[in-house]
Amino acid sequence: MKFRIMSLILCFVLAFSLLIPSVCYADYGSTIPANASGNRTDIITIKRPESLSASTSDKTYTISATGAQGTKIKIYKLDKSADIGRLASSVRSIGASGLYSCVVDLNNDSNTFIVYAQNDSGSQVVNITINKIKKSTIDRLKSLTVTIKSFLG
Amino acid sequence: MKEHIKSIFLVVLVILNFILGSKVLSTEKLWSANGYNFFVNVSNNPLSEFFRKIKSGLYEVSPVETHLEAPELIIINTGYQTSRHALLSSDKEFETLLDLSRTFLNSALSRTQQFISVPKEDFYTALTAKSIYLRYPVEYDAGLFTHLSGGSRTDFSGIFSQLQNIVISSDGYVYIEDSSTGIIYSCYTSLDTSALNEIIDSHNVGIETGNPVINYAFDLGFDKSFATQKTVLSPMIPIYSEGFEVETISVARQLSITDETYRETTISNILPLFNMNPNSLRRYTEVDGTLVFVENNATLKVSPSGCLEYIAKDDGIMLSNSNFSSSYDSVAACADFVDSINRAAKSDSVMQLSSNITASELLDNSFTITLDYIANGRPVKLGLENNEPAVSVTLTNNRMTSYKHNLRSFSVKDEIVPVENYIFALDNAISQFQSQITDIEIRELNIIYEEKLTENILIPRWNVSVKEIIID
Repeated sequence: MKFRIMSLILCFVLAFSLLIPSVCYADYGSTIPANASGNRTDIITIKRPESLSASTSDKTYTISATGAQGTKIKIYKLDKSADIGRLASSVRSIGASGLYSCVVDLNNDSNTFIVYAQNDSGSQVVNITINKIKKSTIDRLKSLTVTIKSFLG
Repeated sequence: MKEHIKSIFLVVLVILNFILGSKVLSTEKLWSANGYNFFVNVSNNPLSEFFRKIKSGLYEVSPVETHLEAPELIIINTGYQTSRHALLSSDKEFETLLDLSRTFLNSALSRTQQFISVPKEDFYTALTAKSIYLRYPVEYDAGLFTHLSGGSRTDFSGIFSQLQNIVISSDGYVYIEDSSTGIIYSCYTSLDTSALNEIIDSHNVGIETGNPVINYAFDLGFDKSFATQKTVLSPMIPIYSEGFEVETISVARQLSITDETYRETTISNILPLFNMNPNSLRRYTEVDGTLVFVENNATLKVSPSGCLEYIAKDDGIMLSNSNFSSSYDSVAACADFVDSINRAAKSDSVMQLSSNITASELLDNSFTITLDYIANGRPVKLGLENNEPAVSVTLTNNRMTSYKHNLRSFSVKDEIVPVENYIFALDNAISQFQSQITDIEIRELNIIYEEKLTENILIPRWNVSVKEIIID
């Protein structure tokens, strides 16, 4: 009896130890919780948008990143009504160059994307916000910048 | 009756005498090799030259163009990344846009004193707004570039000395990057920009066209190294989001040994271009089938694979009737000479410069110009040892002392093959040497055709040009 109990405990410990990494490195499928988080912050570096937030008048936006070879990246688009991220790009692994880029569609005025990166060391989640604004607004902002530069120069 | 027959027979004989006599006299083999030659003088007179030009215009292939100052790529920036559009020289709109761009360029280059240095961000801002980006295949000396594009001689001291990347903004500014220092110079042309804007706006049709999205490397931040990033790209490299399809091409080797009659005719057309008289030179064939033509002052070899090689034993050939006034003229005359060889071989091949021409090279007494073929708007890498170029011309004291030309012509086939996207191509290229590479800086990644001497169909493939590589 004692041996059986010990075996059962051992099985639980074994099962639990196997479960830990799978929970930490949870691999999401076609959806991801809006509040998902990873256990690492150094798997990928988002190169564009640099500040994790950007404005554009374009129909699409190219997100770029760098990371180690073999890192798998998925991009989800946040569905605010369901509080869930839906897969916006197919899973792609970073190759030998260490470079990654992906074009995403911008359908709304405010678009939040959840970038999910995973490799052997763990997972990382980065939220990116892309605001879609009118071209005229961007042009006004650019001319304002030029005016300020001329004033300072 | 008998007298009539005799007369007719006599007349026929007299006519035949004239016909056969003129045939014999006009045969070049009978012409004198030395001294005065009546027939050579007649064939070289301006009237004969005029009729020859008309004849060549009517019956021969259209004159070839050696693109000495044409960009290899034009990108129309619409202000939206989604609808950026890339044009190659094979695209119909390329020439129109190039002509328009030349107007702005020549206007800017004629007022060099108005160029001012501006921050690099201004250059990038122009590329993200409405503009035209011109990427040239090599770095040019600024004076030579102006000369080749038809501009007047200008003093470039104090501003850019070499150029390769140019941007013309929709508001009439011309931005030129000095490729030797990376400094950006800008000049306002005050020209009417309506035609330019019209072309740019016509391409602002969005992603519906199905074209891949084009980002520059600087757009995506791949031009700056950060943390463990080991691959850095030159900022102006266009990165296509998706792969695309490209046509295959077929190759013909004009002077190869396969067609003996055509080869002989072509060689007889080419010899006079090297100032070689077919009647006075010595001719023999080497063991490997190479034809050798020897004159007192030069040797011309034609290899079985179609390579033409001229080596002068004295001062070389003056490529123009008048003395060259500058090294710029001699470079332009080189292009004309390459064209004349292509025409003699009935080749409609298009070529572009493949080696940088810098001011220091032009100041040397002797310098070499290399050209490569472009087919279907893309460079062709010949299947030769040591990455030998299609054409190599050495000028010494503004005279041509050596010339090597691998004659080819290409035609686009209906067959298309898929080409993978940029980053996959880069991954594949780097993965071959990955274990040794610590850092790598990519200068250029473009689609080329690579020739294999055993095959007549050329498949497009990515070509990686590395600027710097650090190996463990």
